[in-house]
Amino acid sequence: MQLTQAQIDAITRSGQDVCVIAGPGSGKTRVLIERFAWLVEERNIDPSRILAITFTEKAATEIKERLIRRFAERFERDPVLRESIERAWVSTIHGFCARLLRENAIAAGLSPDFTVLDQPAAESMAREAAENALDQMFSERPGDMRGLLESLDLSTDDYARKPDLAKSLLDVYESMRVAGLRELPVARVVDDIWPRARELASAILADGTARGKDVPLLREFASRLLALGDEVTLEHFEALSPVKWFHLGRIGNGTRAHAAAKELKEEVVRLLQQQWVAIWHAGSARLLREAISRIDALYREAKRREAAIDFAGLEEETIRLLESDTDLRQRTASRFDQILMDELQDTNALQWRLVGLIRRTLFAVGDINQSIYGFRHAEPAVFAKYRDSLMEAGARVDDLRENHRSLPEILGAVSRALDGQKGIEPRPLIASRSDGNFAPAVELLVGRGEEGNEIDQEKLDAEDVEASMVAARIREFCPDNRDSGGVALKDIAILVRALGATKPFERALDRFGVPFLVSGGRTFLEAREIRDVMALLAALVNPLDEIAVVGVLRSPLVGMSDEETFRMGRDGWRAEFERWFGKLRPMAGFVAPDLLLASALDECGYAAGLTDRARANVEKFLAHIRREHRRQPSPLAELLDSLEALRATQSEAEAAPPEAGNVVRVMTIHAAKGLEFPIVFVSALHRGIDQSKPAIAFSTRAGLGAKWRNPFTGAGQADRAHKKIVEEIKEREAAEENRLLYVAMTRAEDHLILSYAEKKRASGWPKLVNTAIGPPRIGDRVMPAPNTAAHAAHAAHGAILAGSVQWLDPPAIASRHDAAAAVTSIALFHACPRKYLLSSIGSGMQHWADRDLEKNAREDDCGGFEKRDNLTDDQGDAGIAFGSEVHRILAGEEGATDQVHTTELAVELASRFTGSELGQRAARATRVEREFDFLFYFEDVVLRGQIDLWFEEGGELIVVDYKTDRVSDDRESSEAYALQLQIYALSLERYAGRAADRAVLYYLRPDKMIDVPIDPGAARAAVLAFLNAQDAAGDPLNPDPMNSYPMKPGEQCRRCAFFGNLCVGTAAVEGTVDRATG
Amino acid sequence: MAESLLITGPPGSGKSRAALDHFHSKSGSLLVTPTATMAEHIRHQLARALSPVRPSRIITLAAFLNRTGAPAAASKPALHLAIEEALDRLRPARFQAVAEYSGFRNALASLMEEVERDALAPDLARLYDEVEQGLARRGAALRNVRLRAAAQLARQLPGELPAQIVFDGFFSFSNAELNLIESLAARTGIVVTLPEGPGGNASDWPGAAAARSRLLRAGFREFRCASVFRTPELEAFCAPTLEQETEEIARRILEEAARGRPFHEMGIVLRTRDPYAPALKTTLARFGIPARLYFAESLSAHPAIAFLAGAVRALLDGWDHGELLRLVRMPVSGVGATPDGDRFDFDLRQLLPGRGLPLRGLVSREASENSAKSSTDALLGSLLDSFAAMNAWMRDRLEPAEWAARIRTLRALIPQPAIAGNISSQTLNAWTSSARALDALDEVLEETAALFGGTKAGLGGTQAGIGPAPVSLKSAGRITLTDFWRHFEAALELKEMRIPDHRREVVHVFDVFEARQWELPVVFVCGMNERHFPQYHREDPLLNDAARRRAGLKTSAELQREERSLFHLATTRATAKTMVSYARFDEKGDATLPSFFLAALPSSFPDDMPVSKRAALCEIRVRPRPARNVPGLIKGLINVMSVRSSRPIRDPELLERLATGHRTLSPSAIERFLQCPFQFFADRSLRLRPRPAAPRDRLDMLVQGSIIHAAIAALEEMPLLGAAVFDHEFAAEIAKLRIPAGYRAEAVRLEMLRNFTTFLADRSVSHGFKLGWSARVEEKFRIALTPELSVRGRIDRLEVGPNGEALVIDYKYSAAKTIRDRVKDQDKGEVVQAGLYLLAAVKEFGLTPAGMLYCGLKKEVEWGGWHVPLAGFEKIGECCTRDRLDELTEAAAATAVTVFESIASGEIGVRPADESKCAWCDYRDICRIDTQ
Ligand code: SF4
Repeated sequence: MQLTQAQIDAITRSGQDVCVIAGPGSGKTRVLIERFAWLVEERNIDPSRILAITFTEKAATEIKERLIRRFAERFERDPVLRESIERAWVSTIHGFCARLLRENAIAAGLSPDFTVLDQPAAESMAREAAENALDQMFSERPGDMRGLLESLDLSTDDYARKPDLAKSLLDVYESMRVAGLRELPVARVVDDIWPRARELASAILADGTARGKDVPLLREFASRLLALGDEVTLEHFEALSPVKWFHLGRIGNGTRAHAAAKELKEEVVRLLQQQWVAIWHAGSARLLREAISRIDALYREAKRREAAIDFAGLEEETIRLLESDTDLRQRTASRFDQILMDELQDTNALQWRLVGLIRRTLFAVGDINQSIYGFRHAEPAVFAKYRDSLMEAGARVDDLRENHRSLPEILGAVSRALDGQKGIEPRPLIASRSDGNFAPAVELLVGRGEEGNEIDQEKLDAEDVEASMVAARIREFCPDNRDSGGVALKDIAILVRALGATKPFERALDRFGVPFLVSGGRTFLEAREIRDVMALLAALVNPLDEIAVVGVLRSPLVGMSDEETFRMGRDGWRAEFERWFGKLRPMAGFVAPDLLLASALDECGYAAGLTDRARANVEKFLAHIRREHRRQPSPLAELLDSLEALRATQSEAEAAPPEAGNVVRVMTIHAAKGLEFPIVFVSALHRGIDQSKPAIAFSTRAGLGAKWRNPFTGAGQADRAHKKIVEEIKEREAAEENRLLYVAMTRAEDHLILSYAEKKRASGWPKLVNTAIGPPRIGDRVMPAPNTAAHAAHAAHGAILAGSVQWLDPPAIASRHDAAAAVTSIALFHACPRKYLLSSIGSGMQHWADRDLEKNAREDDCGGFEKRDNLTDDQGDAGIAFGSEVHRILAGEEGATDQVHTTELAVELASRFTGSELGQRAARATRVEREFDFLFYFEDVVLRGQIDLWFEEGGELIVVDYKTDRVSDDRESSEAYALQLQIYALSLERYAGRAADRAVLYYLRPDKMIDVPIDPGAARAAVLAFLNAQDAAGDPLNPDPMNSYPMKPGEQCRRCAFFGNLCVGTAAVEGTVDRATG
Repeated sequence: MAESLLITGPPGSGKSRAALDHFHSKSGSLLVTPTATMAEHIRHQLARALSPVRPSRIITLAAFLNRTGAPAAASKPALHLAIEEALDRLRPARFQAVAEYSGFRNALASLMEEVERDALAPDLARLYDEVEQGLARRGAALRNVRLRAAAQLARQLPGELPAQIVFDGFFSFSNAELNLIESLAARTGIVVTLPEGPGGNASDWPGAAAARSRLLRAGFREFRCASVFRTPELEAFCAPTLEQETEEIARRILEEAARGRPFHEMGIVLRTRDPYAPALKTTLARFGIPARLYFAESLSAHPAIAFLAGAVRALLDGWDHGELLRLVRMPVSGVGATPDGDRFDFDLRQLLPGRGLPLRGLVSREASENSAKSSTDALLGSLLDSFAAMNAWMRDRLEPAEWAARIRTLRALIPQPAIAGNISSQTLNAWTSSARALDALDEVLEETAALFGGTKAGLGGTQAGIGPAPVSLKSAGRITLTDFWRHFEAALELKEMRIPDHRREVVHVFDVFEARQWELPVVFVCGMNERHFPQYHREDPLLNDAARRRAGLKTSAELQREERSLFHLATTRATAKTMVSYARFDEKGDATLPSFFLAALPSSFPDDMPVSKRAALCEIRVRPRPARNVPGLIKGLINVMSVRSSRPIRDPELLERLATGHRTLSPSAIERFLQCPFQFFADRSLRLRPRPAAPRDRLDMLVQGSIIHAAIAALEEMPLLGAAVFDHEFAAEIAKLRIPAGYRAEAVRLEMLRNFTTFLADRSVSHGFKLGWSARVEEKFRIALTPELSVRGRIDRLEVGPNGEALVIDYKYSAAKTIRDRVKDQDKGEVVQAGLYLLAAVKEFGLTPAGMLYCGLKKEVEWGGWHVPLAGFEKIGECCTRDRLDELTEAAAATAVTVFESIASGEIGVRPADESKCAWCDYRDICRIDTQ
């Protein structure tokens, strides 16, 4: 689409800061992107010198993607441009802060690897800080804290909807931080109303002319006031309470006393109460301030401990850094030729201050009418001020009025409903399109309650009626869930104010068979399938948790009927649970929790019955615990606790991914910001905002305010600051209410349908839309769901989806053996497969067996587990060290050793060989290698080993292995040694270029030489037996892998470290051998 | 002089092959690689190719340095200790605020290993010197120092050098490395490979270009492998989420395997370990695909180590019972996942919070003294005894080595595996990994002891016997466990371990750096998203780009450029097929940006499609086929779709059980049934026991209600005490339930006290009673409604008039609205209490009903109910006739009978009368109703 002139003007405006007022559908993002392009193309600005700040990550991603597409053509010619676009600074303000802080972590006093806490994590950390702060203060000053607790009317339950003290303080803390303050200022001094009250009281007493029934009461009241001292006491409050007893009508009209009484009653007493209550509770207010500082300190400390920073902290720290380091500030500012800023109306004061620190020229886009983030401290006034200051300076402000999104009827409805309303700036919406084929383009549906005057009853049913009307209307658009008349389900969105309102719609859509997706929900941990998985987790943690166990049994995981459950009884439940999932429990900790749960779900085929949405939830859940586990591995029980805490505090859990395909989207208006849909339902309009106001609150204008208890009546009594803050909040909410509706309605392209459930008194939104759109279509009964094919299909939703799942069988795996093995392992296996297994499970076993063996460094260990040569383990530590020593001497390394001393025995044993005939031959050899390490690929395994000695002498190639132990007459060991030597001999062929002629085992202690026949067949058989055992044992479906490693009881058991200990072979050899003594 | 050769070329051009040819061409050659796994991989590869290679001829650069006789490498703990000491001593102002952060120390450690001293700012240079000295005292040195020493030694010493040294697999070389290479080149033949960027342009591979020109200047002859001889087939796909991306990879692997491709011919290349490695690990395991992940695990996270270290931490912390529970509950303790452990868990949970060992008064242990102990119970007992025995450690001061030895003995806490039949391969694996972890723990203990004490082992040197003997510090002397532990824990955190896995038939999963010397027929490159691949690099806060440039280190811009080369490298690992993939949405559900590298792929996709759309979108969902024939698979469909249709019980025997089991009902049970039959069933028929509440959750509404009731009852006996009875009851309950006395409990107390005081002040009822009325409190009753059904209950207060009139009063710790609702709901048939209590007044106590009043006690006192005209009660409740009271009674009795009949007929469906009450139902998680 061509750019409009207004857009072009905005894009190319130069020589001034730019302010673009961009109404809904006016192509805001496009303007931003074109501006970027213009700067690059026309002004030759390097993309890396442009800072673009968006409101959400999502928007940043979108802008980047569109930029890439915008420049795609040029990339061929200009790869450098591509790179700089890829790395351009397009991010949220938090992203920008994080980057700046990371690059300057040291100067900012942050850990270079600091983590940015997400909202739920920050909340729970802050919550804990608040709890600890209050507990500390309570234990230090119980009396004062008791006073504080009594002076406020707050919830005592942190799970309640009404905030408790900790939550209230945290809210105050947040507003304080967003205001850029490190500590709470003392409440603003307000005019003292007391003198005026006295004046009025005196006037009443002085006026003798007043007549009327209540005059005596009034005079008594006045004199009592005058009798009060200056210091506020309980009596003061008591003295004020009679103000309600006298009626102004019963006091002579027109008299001075009447005027004074009027002022007192209607104004001054209220103010006085506010003033006194503040004075009376000044101590508690101080305590509140102290609590805030304490929370701040503890929270900071906690963040510091974790090297973490929260979102507000990113802004705070960046500002601090830039303000304290002029040089850095200048460098940062000069890094950017221009700052592009999106959604300026949703910026808060702190962010604006930050931008101010680095901006040279600014191009800001926004629309006050779309500012809906006041509850997150956005200040639309920032935008207004910016715009006004430009205008005052004589600069141009660009106003994009043309709406390219919605049909004129829709915009007309918006104007009729909202023009002139509070918070809405009067700006015409000009439709640039008129191609709609819907008539009417705007509708209003009203659900009327069926029965009863009972308020609750009416509300309930009317909501269901409304929802059914919405569902029925959607059915009309898409009769069978397939695209129809150019409308697909995914073109339809239902927008509501808060997710709490979605329930009736979910029910109705389900009933009508309309697939949908609720996005942006905090419903995640509450979803049924997640509760199933949580029950599974809880039951795995402890199957005595019978609620969890029975939950698992009757869920589709096991699918047991209640009848079966009842029949079984508690022992049965446990047994049944163990039968299904028992084998998983001991694996906890050894496998990641997500795998543990996923295996359980897979085993049950749980996914088969799930809808797409539910499956996405389960997937999300598993991903969540995987991330948590990776971040901080903890036992299952703790994982369960933290998930439950997350659920209890209702921290906003993430939504299921929007990979919904062709479904109706149900979302909040806030989530819909920036989106557009052909057909938009703005529903549940009757749902008002939460009217409750915080009991403790802070604003920069009013300071800290609270609603205290009146010490005399016990009733709630706001102090003046609180009053003022509540007014501010109301003002803001009223304005934002209207803007919220404005945003909602302007999401629609072709068709806007508003709906609500009728309440006794139409107020708020219903009232606004009633006047703008009419006449409504009224429903007074729950619409029946049509019995269509689509409906039937949806009812069997699970089945359909199960059809789209491809079930994969586990692969057949032929070989599971190791790629490589040490020759000693083969020999060890040959000597006794069980012993091999026990040692291969690890030397840790040896420790369990209470044998502490020194490491044997003789064989190069490539990460294998055969660290110790277990063939010689009969000698214990000293033996192995000694063996190594002898080997070293024979290898000619006497000198270069960290061995403290060389024992005489070692030298002597070594000399037995050197003095032997064989030793002499070796000395004469033409080729000789000692401690010869090798790799030998044999029967699909790479064998590694080390040959003590081989040499070629007199045309004969001889392999020698020295032994320092005493086992020369032990059959099994000798056999194993022989096998080892045979493999050595075979391997040599590759290295020496010829086969070995002779293999000799040399027992040094008895000075005995044994010639080992070279038998490739035996070696091959031994290696294959080894590999086969591994293949069989590695099969996860093998019920008894131990079987692959049978015991080979015999004489050698005497010297085996595992004998009688880890080896249950005792029974098998009982009677034949006794436990060796050493 | 032997010739020095530089082999250059883009990834996949055969540089490594050329290097290996040179390696083989001369016997006695040495091949030097950057990593140990790479060395091993090459060794095995050569062995399989039947080439007679000596494993000791293929080593890492670090091992090579050890051989040259250069000082030992500083182990991580040693380096960190040296840094800590240096920071302590010098206290550089610039780092004051960050000195405590381990992240800062890590950054410092890697900087010091990377950079040469002269490139550093003065304060950093001073730190460097200090660290260097600290290490030297321990016989170890920083990497560059070792390189320098090795270069020196290579030049001067007469020792024999290998006939030829081949350096392969390095991306680039630092100045110090180049110095070494040059010194070696002076004495022996050297072959070096260096990569080039995809375009065959050396400068596309930052760092390599500088190294190349320097080597050329030093006289190296260049050999260029210009052509890429591999052009694997290329395919791109994307999936909605990262999870599904991994599933799609699994599906394709299985497909390849089904076509006969062995698993070991496939690999998955990641840019970085997170977030893909853990996800792949899970997914591949689920689909039964054997895989080996080339990533080390953190030792401290291993369950065996977490258990043992946790025990010491718990000891130092005075055995906080929560901590203790956490320890005992780990399956590795031997009792974690056993019935005895489960029982212990619940028992101890009820006693929380607490601290200290031995544990006294723990039910299960005492109970088990007389009964035959099960083996796990005995194990639990001995575990707790062992813990308790550790208390003595707190008094000791020992040499570090002694502490190390002592902590080593803790392994005895982990029960010895019972080797018997029927041990699954998973269990075997768990044992293997535990054993491996315990070994690694030993190493850390040794290292720590060596760093602080007089033992000789474990400093830096990895190869014993090579290099100078490490000189240890003077012993730290006798220290407390706390001191030793502090150092030990720091060392433990730095330790990584690899669980042994040498299977051949596995899919390889590694990062792109590890992948560089691999060649596999099929390679997946996943995570092709902006910010993941490519990663985004920013300036280093310790050494900015300008300084890095001066130091010859890669700048952030160069690292950024390297990303593209890494991508090229990753996609050229395959000989037959490369499959690149990405996820379209992130974990928040927001759309992601596909990697811009995808655009560079020579692809078969139409050019006019935007990058993100060019990859085929995978819509198929795959799942491993369930191992068993699962009934849930079918039932699941039904259950998931229709929660409310839980079917009634029909088995006559069970119906009989229901009828007999519920022949006595309380009004609250009946009301529970009326609210939801399933709730009743779960609570009263199944009698499901929940998990004990955590201390802070114990002061719930139920407990608050019972405190108030107890206080009101006590008031009857001690009316003069007034509000003090409340405090007494509250304190007693708090103590009994071990509720922590924090501000929150205090807030609850104050609120309850306020309510109680308001109640005391309320005279609305007591004023009504004239002389002759008397009160009976907490009156129990049991009345038969039918031969099968009785109702029992307890009346809070029964005011008895002079003529035997009975006014029943029931206190509720609830707000006025609840009371009003209760009265209002009376006629809806959901409330039976009033009627049944009145009936009890008649039947059990022989009185004439005069009324039934509820009294709500929260915030304000609210009275509601019905009574015959009574003086003084005009303002309270509804004044009615006897008939009306009889009506209530009859209706309640009839309802009770109907309820009983429904129960007896097996009606247990999930049917909440008021869904809004589900929020407070204990069974809402398992009834499968949708709650919000
Ligand atoms: S949550 Fe509701 S539906 Fe479920 S058992 Fe409880 S009362 Fe019944």
